[in-house]
Amino acid sequence: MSSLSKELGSWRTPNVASFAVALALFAVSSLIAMSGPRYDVTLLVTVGLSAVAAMGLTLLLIAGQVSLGQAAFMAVGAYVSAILARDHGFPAVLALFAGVATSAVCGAIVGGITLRLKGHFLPLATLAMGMACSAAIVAAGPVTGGASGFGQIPPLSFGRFELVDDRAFAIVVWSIVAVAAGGFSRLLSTRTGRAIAALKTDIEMAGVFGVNATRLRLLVFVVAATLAGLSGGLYAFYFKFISPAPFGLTSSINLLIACIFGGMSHPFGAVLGASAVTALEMFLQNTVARMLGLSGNVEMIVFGVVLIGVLLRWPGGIWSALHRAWPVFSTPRPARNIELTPSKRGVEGDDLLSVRGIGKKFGGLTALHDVSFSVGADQIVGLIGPNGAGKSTTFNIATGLTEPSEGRVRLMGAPPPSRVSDLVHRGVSRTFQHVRIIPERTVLENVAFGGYAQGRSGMIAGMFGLDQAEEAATFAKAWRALEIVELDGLAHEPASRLAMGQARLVEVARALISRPRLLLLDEPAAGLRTGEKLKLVTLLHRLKRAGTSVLLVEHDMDLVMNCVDQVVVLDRGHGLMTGLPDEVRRDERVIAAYLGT
Amino acid sequence: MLDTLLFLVADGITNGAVYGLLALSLIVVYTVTRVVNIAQGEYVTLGALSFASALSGTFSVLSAIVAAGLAAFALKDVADRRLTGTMRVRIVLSRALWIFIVLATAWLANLLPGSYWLAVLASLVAIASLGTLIYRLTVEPVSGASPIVLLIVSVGVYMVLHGTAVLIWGAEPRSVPPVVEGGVELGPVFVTYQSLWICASSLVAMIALYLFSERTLTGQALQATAVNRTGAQLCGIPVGVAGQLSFAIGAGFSALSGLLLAPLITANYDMGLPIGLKGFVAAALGGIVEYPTALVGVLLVGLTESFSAFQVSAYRDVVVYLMVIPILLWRNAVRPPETHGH
Amino acid sequence: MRTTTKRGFIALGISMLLAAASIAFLRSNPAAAQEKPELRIAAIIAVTGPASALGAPERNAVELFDKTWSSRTDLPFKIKVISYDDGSDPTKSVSLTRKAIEEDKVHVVVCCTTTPGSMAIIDTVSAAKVTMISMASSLSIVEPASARPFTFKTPTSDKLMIQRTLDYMKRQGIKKIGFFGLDDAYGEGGLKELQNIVKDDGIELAATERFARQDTSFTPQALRLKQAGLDAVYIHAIPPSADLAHEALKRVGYTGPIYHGGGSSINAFVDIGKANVEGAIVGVGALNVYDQIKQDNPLRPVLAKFADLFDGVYGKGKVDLFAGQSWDAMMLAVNAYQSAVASGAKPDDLAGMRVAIKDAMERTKDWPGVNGVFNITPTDHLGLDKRSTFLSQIRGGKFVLIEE
Repeated sequence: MSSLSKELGSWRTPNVASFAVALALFAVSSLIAMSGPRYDVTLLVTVGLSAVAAMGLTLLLIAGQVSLGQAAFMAVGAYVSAILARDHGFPAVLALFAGVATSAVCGAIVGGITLRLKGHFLPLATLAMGMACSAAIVAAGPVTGGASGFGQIPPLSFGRFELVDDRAFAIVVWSIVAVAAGGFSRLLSTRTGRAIAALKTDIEMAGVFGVNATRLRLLVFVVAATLAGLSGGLYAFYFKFISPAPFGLTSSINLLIACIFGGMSHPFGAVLGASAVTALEMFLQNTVARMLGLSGNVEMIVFGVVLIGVLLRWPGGIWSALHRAWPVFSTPRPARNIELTPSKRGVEGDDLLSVRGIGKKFGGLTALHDVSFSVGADQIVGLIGPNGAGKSTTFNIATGLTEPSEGRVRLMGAPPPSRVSDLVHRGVSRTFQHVRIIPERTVLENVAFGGYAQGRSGMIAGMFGLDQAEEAATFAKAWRALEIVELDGLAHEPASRLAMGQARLVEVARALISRPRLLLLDEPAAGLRTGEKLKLVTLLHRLKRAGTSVLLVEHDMDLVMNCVDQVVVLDRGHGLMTGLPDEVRRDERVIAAYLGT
Repeated sequence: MLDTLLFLVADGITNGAVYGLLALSLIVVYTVTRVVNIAQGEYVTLGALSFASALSGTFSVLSAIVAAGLAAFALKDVADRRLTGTMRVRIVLSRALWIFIVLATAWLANLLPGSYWLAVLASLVAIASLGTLIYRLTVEPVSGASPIVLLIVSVGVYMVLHGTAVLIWGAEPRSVPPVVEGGVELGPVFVTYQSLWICASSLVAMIALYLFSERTLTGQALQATAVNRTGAQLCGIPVGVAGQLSFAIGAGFSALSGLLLAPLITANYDMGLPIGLKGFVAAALGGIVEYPTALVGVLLVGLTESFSAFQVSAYRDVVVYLMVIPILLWRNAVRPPETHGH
Repeated sequence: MRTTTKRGFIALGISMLLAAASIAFLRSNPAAAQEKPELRIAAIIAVTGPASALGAPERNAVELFDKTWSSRTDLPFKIKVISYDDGSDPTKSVSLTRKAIEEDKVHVVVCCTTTPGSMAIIDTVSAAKVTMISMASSLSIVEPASARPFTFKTPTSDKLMIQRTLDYMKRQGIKKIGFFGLDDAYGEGGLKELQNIVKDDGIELAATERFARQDTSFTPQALRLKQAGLDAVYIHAIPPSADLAHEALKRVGYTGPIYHGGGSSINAFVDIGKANVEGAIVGVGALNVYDQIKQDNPLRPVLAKFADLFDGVYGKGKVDLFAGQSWDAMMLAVNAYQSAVASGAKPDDLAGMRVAIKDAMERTKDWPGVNGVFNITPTDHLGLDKRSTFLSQIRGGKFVLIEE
């Protein structure tokens, strides 16, 4: 396993992989476009248009959302472009642009309304919106041609050059596919890509590291809508006839099928899926229909069986089956090391965290009452107590994830930030009671995500390689953080393969990369073996010496007593006592609380 | 004016009751197996069509297919090396009985064409058994996969079932007689007995399901499986059987709604999809987990359809689907649906 | 090599093999030179999808044609029929049309079942100069003929049928009517034609209600129509929704006459509607009433022959309007081919032959098809007139001719 990290040459980066595949896509498609029979070129265009729309959908799926209305955005792009070009004398390119822009705006509106919906409400809302769109197109007959369709769309022309040749059109479409596929593939391995993956894993965790979840989700939704609009507009100019039929619920579901069939974790999966679905349909047409002479319904049955069969065997789609043959592309270790010293923000000498008389009620249940303690500079404070004492609640209140019912909290001299994403900017970082790392990404990428708040490059920079310097710096810091927790050997492992103890340490590394002054660790030793616990204690001492203060929630008494400067004991929501480890260990009330006498 | 209102309300309630049975099916299937079953509407179609066949005295090919599938699975289960002799005998006997019931009901219906209740029985037995087969074939093997994959698998099931329906029964619509001909005058409104049957069945099904889930041990075992599969297994609940049972109930309810609806709109190959869609909307308004809220949801959808069809029939679909969004927003704020970790 | 990597390569290898196999399959054999020249017709029909209720009988008629004509050895040429299913999706209609033209090298494309599909392929067939014969309802598919040089169609247009029906209504003294139709392309086409024609006929279109094919309830719309105080209601749909709309009207207490468009002129209409549709006045094609039309009508023998042939294979009484539409399309193609050859076109010259067939189509004169007597000219690519439309009334569960 660890031999991989030694074998990687410096050229095996995700950038190279993305660029190579994009180039390959373009080359193969151009070959078919130039030399294939004309019918194949038509298929090529159709697959390409589906792939563009499907890629938008895949991006949404990577962000953890399902849209059942992608084809409706295609319809918007198609109809707006067509109507403007034919009935209002717009030049074709301008009409296309207007169509795409309208899709994007619709995406922003629909997204703004529906993205706050949780669970199954979001797919349902997109489904409803899609159906309403189809019905509206039919109802607006005089403008859109209704169910009978809208024809005689002028061809796409650039100045005096008309794009009527199938082959040229195919090359145009597949250039777009290649650029989008390469760009999104690259995006996934950069700052915004990591944030998108984090959205799917755990929104709260993403927020803690500075991601503005609402804005990012909306951005992804708008990008998906834009791609769909582009696909629809190009469809209109290629076929020169549109009707509601190709943009209905069936098409939205077909796009979803292509994404899942091809593999929903990567944009190449969308291209693979769109191609595979069409290839399968053609194959079935030729064999089932022509050779065996059976009706079209048998084709549908066989298609369904193949779809079920492939997904049963490879739930991750075709991409997941091919992925195992794919060599690993990941960022190599930098030549020079950098240091991760905590940034000296905040006022010297004052308390970094201070809670005074906080209480919390959940309905009729009083979880916390009159709890007070503080964490100063260069201090390690331990928060202990029996189960149900209110430790995690205290943690959440301290970081602003929960509002206290009473009392005062000061974090770095100010009340906790109203937006969780501001925590990192204050120099505060935390881990979680239940490990929340992105299982699909490598350990290195997970740690690198911790540096989200320090970065600035967005989607465009990520897609087109304008963020090289920032990414290099982020990864250098990530390597350093992994070295600090002594897990750099596992850098290229997928995070899902980690043992519990290792995962916790990765969380700590992730928290360290933003160079916090105050680190809140929620049960970091849970699931660690004795040897690992000793290493953790050493790590905490090192952090303290380097200038980071730690607030630690723990069950393991020995560990706490060995590394903290001060202990705060909670019992059933009350602060029992605060003091030095030895004092607490001998206190009768504490012993009684734990042993239950 | 009042006449119109009464007509529309009666119409809306009937619509709602139709979607209600389907919404219930979706909820049962979802809560136990976490599958959003896109194919649920097809059980409506298959129920209606096999009912039409049974009534007219043709032996339903579907029953034969289902019996064959059950036999195949029985063989597979018996061959499990971990079983003792007595257990094997028990499996063989119970499966044989099951297959016998499927075939016997179909054969009896074939023998006595026109016998209404026999046809209902044959159809329900066959479709419910089909549900268990689909579960074992397409859900059990991937029960750990993400919900979206399960959803696409159910799309594949939809394709297979839809194609099979047309292959067996063709594209022609078949007319089917109602349970009782005629209807009753409720004031100015003429309500057919069939519509009353549909409403009554919907209500009875909902109550029965509620009692089953809350009051019987099996029902609670089903709920336990829904909440935590591994935990349920550790308690000795056979989760595979729970899954099969939920699919059987879901398929059965859908088939029931199909054969109740068929006299009103004829049994044809395409009836499942729009009903499935509106049923899904209604169920999802209840978060796909709560029966009582689903009742409100179906009534809302049914009444909106009815009134908008009256006012602006060309735009009624636009109205119904757009109405969904503000309701979702409101429900999301008041009581959001459960979200699942990955 | 790691096991997973090895498996990954195997998977990659298999998928590439599959891809190669499918590409190999995608190459159809080019038409080899035969001793007898071959007429190749592509039939692209919506056997699956929303329009399959129309597509299935169309496909049956095509298969019947294939069986009866392709096996004949007494002709100076061979016929090859290539069938495709476009799933009611216009995108597929276009790509299948291109495939048929470029790979299968057909002379005639019979497509499509639906109006959107037919409209979508017009540009393709015009550019390739290949004759296309549609089985869809809207007249805009073939009009104006100057913009659609290679496009023809066989079903009687809604315009002719509605014109006939409205004439009859006028003679009954009907002044105010309502339209009750489908919300798809078929219903849309009917509404447009009706709106155009009523302007000239002096009848008022006082109410318009729409429904979807798979609606479960038609009561609200029927109620609205009843309250509009109409002299007659015109239903433009296909069974089963045509029957259900009819029943809904009766149920809400409407007592006036109910007329139906050509979509209801199939046997399923009476099979489903039974006693409820008694008295409906339906505009029909000749096929429904062929045994009642005058003996000297040139259509009668053609119809009888077709009905016997179709019923013989598919069952008594199964023959209907949609089957007739595709049958006429195939027969027209054969007729045009024979006429083209007779006028000197060379079968070996594919491009020339295709244009010659189109020219021959435009010379079709007094040709008795199942749908009517065709007189196709360069400006009229439908070629049917009033003589292809008939009015019938449902009496005793049968279509009874009331006007020829």
